[in-house]
Amino acid sequence: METSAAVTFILAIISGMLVDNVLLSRFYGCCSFIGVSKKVESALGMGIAVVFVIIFAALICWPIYNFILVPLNIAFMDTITYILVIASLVQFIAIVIKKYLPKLYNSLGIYLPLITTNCAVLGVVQANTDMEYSFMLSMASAIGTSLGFLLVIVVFACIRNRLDSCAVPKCLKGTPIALITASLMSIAFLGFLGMITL
Amino acid sequence: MEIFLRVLFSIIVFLVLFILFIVLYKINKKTKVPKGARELERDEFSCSHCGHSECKFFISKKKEDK
Repeated sequence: METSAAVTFILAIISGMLVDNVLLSRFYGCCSFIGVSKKVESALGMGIAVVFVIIFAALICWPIYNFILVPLNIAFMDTITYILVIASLVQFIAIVIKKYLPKLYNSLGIYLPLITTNCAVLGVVQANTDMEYSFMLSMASAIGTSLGFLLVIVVFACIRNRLDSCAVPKCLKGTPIALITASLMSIAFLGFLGMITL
Repeated sequence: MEIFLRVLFSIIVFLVLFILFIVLYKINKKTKVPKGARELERDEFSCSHCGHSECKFFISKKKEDK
């Protein structure tokens, strides 16, 4: 890998993680962001599961698009193909977590199968296709985006944990204060805007 | 002929991926969660009465257990 290619790879990861954060800039995957951020353990588990799904989805979908769909002249099938690949990956992860991490499986609950409908996963894969990224750049985008999701959901869970022991006005307790916190985090992440331009 | 081939390939790709999904779904359905996992999770992270992780009763009980 050349030096400029390596720098681009690292910059793409940082860009996906901080500058163009999937949760706080593009607002993808907000349902799991709010739903599974009550406990740090659950948020960490969900984040790791999403990291795994996004990276493997990008790893599988790029060759499928470039070596199967484009040569067969059926590139219009991309979204349906990606949905099926992501759904299969989530089932596979559910099997692994159920068997080896049953505590995590119970704490994730309904949100584990719901990763299938997490638009962050489909959004990353679709963006890789639409932007016509190379394989390395699409992997960098997937790694950066998924790590950004993990970072934000864990930080958000830590803040919500601390908020539980704070004197919050009764009318703001629970979801309202969580949404206000999310909006403040989004504003904070605006500070990274313009830091990296690829 | 070209349109026919495109439709045929689309159906083949869809069916292959759909069958893969169904197989994994069936395996997932058959896989069972080991017994006692739910109780362990509840005891470890949150109070068994109110379900809250910051519950004073739960924290004091956890300290006693230690």
